[in-house]
Amino acid sequence: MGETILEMQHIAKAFSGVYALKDAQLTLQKGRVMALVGENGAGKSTLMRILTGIYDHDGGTILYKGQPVHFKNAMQARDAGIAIIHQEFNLFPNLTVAENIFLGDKSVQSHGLVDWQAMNRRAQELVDSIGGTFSVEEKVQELSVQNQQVVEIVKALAANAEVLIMDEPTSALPESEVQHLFRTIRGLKARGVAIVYVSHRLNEIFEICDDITVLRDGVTAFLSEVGATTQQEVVAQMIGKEVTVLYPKQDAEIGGVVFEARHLSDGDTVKDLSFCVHKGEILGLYGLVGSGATECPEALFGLVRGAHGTFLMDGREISLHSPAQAVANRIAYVPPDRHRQGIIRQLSIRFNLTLAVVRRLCTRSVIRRKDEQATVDDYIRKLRVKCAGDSQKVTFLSGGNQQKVVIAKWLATNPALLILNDPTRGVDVGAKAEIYSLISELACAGMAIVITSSEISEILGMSDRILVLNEGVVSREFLRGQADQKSLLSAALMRPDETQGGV
Amino acid sequence: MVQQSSSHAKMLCVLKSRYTLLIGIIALEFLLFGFLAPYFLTLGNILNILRQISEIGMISIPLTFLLLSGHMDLSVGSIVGVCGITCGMLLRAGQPVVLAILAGIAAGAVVGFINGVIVGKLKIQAVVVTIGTQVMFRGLCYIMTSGRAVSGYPLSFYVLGGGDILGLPISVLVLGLCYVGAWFVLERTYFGRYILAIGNNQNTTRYSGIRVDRVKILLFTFCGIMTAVASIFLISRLSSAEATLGSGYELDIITAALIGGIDINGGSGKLQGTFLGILIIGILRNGLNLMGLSVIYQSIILGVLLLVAVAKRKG
Amino acid sequence: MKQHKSRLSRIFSAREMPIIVFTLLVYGAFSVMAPNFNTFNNVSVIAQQITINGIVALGMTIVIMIGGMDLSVGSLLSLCGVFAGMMDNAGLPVALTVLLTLVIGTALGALNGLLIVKLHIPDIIVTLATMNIFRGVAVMVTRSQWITDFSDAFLHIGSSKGGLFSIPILLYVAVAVVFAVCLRWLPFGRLLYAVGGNREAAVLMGLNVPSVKIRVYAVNGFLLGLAGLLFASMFGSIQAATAATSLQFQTMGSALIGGANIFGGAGSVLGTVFGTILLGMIKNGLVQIHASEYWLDFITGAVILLALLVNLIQLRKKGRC
Repeated sequence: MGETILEMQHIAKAFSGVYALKDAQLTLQKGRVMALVGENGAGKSTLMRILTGIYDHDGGTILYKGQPVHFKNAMQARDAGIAIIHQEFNLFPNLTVAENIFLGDKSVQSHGLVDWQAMNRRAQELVDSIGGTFSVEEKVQELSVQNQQVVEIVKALAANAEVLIMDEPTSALPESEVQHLFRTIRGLKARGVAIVYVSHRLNEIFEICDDITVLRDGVTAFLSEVGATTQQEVVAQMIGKEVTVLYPKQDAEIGGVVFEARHLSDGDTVKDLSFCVHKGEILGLYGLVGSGATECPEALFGLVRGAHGTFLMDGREISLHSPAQAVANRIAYVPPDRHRQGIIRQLSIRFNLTLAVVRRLCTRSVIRRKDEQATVDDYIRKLRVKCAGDSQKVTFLSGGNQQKVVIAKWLATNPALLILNDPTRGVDVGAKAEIYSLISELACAGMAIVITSSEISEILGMSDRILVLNEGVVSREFLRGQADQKSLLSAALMRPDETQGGV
Repeated sequence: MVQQSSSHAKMLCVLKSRYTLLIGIIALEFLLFGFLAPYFLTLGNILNILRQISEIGMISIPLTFLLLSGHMDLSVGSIVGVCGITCGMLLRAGQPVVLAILAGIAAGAVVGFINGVIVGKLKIQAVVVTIGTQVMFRGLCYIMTSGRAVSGYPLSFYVLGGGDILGLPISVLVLGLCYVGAWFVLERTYFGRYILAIGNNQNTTRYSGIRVDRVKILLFTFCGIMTAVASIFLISRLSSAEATLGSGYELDIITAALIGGIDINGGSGKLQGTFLGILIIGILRNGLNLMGLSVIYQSIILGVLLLVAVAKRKG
Repeated sequence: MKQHKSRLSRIFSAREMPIIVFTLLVYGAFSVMAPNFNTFNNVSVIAQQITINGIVALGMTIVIMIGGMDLSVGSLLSLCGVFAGMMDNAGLPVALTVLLTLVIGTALGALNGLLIVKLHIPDIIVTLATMNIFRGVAVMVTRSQWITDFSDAFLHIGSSKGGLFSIPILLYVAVAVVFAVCLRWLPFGRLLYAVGGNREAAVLMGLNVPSVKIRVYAVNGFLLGLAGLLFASMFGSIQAATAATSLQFQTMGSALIGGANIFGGAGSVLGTVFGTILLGMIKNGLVQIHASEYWLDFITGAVILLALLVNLIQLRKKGRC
C-alpha cells in the first residue's frame, strides 16, 4: 500500500434541493490507480468537479496531504497539484505542443521573453519520458486524438500534478491505442502520481486499476482492491437492490413493421446498427455513455452529417439526411436537451406547440388561427399541460410541462414513428408518471416508438423489446420480462463478443 | 400563476414604456426643432421628412426581419447603389421605365441571394460576409458609373419620387403599404414564426424540421429586393444616381431598429419599434439640416444613440 | 538533417506561403504589363504608399486575432491626424505633438475596448458607433476645414529620408519587427493566440480575457495615433471628413489575406505585411496599366470574400479540435 495523498469523506452536494451526492468517499494513494465507477447519474462527475474546485460541496471534508482543503476554483486545485483530463480536451489547437504545456509558465522565460529553445527542450523531454513519439513543435491541431491526450497528460506532469483524474480516457481512443495509454499510466504510477480512472469499461478497469470505488445514488457503495473482486460483483454493487417503480405500461397490440433501419452508422460512435420497429411497439435502446444509444436517434433524425444506412418506412425506402426530411417522412424526435433542442423558452406555448406543424395550418401561407387554436387547445387538454394559458411563455412552465409541450409539438404532426431520446431527463416524479402513461397510450393507439433513457428502470419498465448497445453495435436483445437490471447492465458493460454466450 | 401574470404585466409595462419613450423623443424633437427652426413645423417640411425617410423605411423592413432572425446585413447601402445605378443606366439608355425598374429589382434579388447563400450554406457570420460584399458591391458602383453621376431620366419616372396621391407622396404611401404587409407577414404567416424561431433558438428550429438555411437565403434575397425598390424611389427623388448612392444607410437603419427595441442578438422586438426609430432619426436629420448642421455632426449623435440603445438592453 | 528538412518543409507549408507566392505572381504580371512598374522608383513609391495602411493593418491583425473587429480605424486615424495637425498649428514642439497624439490614440483605442467589455456590446457594433463618433468629433473640432500649414519640423517626419528609405517606411519596418518579436517571444503575445484559439480554455487557465481585450484595442489605438501623425505629415494637409474613409476594409482585407482568422486565433505579421503589399501593389498597378482605379474597391471586397472562403476551407479541413 502506498502513502495516502487524498481523502474525501462524507461528501454531500445538492442541486436546488436534489441530492447528487449524499455520502461519497474516495481515498487515493500515491502510485495507485483508483477506478471510479457507477451508473449514469450516480454522482461520479459531481464528485470529480468538487475535487477539482469547479463545484463547492455542501458537506463533508477533503484532506489533501493530511491537510483539510477547500478549493474555490479550478485554478486553486490545479496549483495544489490536482489535475483533470476531461473527455473534451482543454487545449489551444492553434499553439504548439510545447506552448500548450508551458503557456504562461515563468520558468521557460528569460528576461521576460519566451525562451523557445528551453521550452521545446523541456517539453520534448517530458513527452519522450512518457513515450510520446511526436515533435513538440507541432501545432496541437495537427495531432491525432491520442496524441492530444498525451499532451493533456504531459501538461498535468509539467504542472507537477500529484493527483490526476482521467474522465473516460479511452472513449476517444481507437482500440489499438488503449495499450499505449496503459503504458503511459504505468509510467505515471512509477512516478508516484495518484490516478482516478473514471470509466464504464470494466475490462479496462480490471486491467489497469489497483482499487475500485463504486458510487450508487450519491453514496459510496463499495470499496475494494481490484484483485479481490470480480466484474460480476462490481455490476451487482452498481445496481444495488432492485428499485421497483410502477410503470403504467399496458399491453398494446403489436402489428407489422413500421420502420426499419439497416446498417445505420454515423461515422463515429454508431458502427453498424440494424433494427426494426413494429406498430404499437415500444423499442428500448439501452447503453452506457459512448455506446451509441443516444447517438443512434440523432442519426435517424438526420442530425448527423455523414450518417448513412438504409431506411424503410412502411416498406418504402426513404432518405434521412436532414430533420426536414425526417419530419416529411413522419418521424418525430423528442431530443434529450430540452432547452437547447426542444423548446424555445422565450416564446409562448402556442408558438412552440405548433412550430413543426404551423405550415400545414396555413392557407396561402396565412395561418388559419381557428385551426391553430383548436390544435393548441386539443393538445393542452389531451396532455394535461398545466399552464395559465396558451400565450404563457414556456420558460415559466415546470420541466415536466415543458416536456409535454415538446411531445405535443410532435404529436401534432401525426407521426408514424416517435423517437424519444431520454424523455424524462430533468422531469419531476409526478410528471414522469404522466409522460409514461402518455407513451403507453400512444403505443396502444398504434404508434411505433423508440425510447432511450439514462435510467435503466425506465427502459425495463416501458419497453416491449430492448436492444442493448455497446460500442456502436447491438450486443444483446431482450424481450419484455426477459431482462432485469443486472442482465441489462452486464450486457451494456461487457464487450459484444463476450456476451454471446449469455450472462 | 400569480408570478406569471405579474411578470406578464411587467413585460407589458416595459414594452409600453419603450414605446412611450420613443414617442416622447419624437415629441421632444418636434418641440425643439419647431422652436429652433421656424420652417420645421410646416406641412411642406413634414411631407419632406416623410419623403426622406421612405427609402430607409423600406429597407428597415427586411433588415428588421434579419435582425429578428439573429442576422445582419451591412451591405444594404451598397446594394442601394448597385440597384439604383442599374436602373438609372437603363433609363438613361432609353429603355422603358418598367423594364428599368424590373432590372433594378432583379439586381437586388441577385446580390441579396449571393449574401444569403454565403451566410446560409457556407455558414459564415452574416456580419463578416456583408462587410465583404459591402466593399465589393460599392466597388461595382464605381465600376459601373466610372465615378460619374447617372442622370437624365424620362419625365414619367420622376413621378415615383416626386408625385403624390391625395396630397401624400407616393413613396410614403408605398412605405405605409410595405409596413402593413410586413406586419402581416410577421404576425400572421408561418414565415413570421420561422423568423422569430430562428432568432430565438436556431437549434430547436432545425430540430423541428424547418430548413433554416433556406429561410436565411430567402430573408437575404427579400432584403435585396426591398433595398432595390427603395433605391428606385431614391434615384427618382434625387433625379440622379452617383457611385456613393446610399452609402452609410446601414448605420441609420440598424441604429433605428436598435433604438426601436429590436434585440441585437435576435429573437425579440416589434416592427413598429423600428418604424418609430426611423422617424426619430429622420426628424433628427431633417431638423439638424434646417439648423445648418452638417451630416457629419449628425453621425456623432447617431453613434451615441446606437451605443445607448444597445447598452440599455443589456442592463 | 531530419530537423533541417522538417524546418524547410514547415516553411513551405506555412500559412503565409500562398499569399507570398500570389504577391510575387501579381508583381510579375504587372511588371510584364507596365514597363514602369518594376523600377526602383516605382517600388519605393509603393512602399511609401503602403506605410499607413501597413501600420494600421498590424493593429487590425491583433484585434482580429483575439476574435475582435474594429470598424473605427479610419475615423480614429482621422481624429488623431487632425489633433496632431492642430497641435502643430498651435505651435507645440513636434516632440510634444507626437507624444500627445500617441496618447490620444491609445486612450481612444482603449475606450473602444472598454465599451466592448463593460457594456457587453459586440465589437462590431461598438466600433460601428465609434466610427461615426470619432469622425464626427474630428469634423467638429476642425469646423470642416482643411488642416494645413504645418511646421517644417512636423513635415519632416513624413518626407525626410533616413539613409536610403524615408522615415515612414523605416517606422513601418520598425513597427512590423517589434510586432513580430512581441507576437513570437513576448508572453503577452502568445496569450493573444491563446485567447483567440480557445477562449474557454483561456478562461479556465485564469487569464483575464477582458483585460487582454482592452489592452489589444489600446495598442491598436496607439498605432492609429502613429498612422494619423504620418498621414498629416506625409500629405501636408488633412481633412477630417475625407481622410482614410475606407481604411477599415483595406486593413481588414490585408489581415485576412495574410492568414488572420475571422474567428480569432490565427494571424501573423509576415502574412499581414504581404497582404498590405499585395493590395498596395494592385492599387499602384491598376494606375500603371491605365485601368480604372474604380476597380480597386471591387477587388478589395472580392479579395476579402476570397480570404474568408480560404479561411473556411482551412477550418473545415482541420475539423474540430
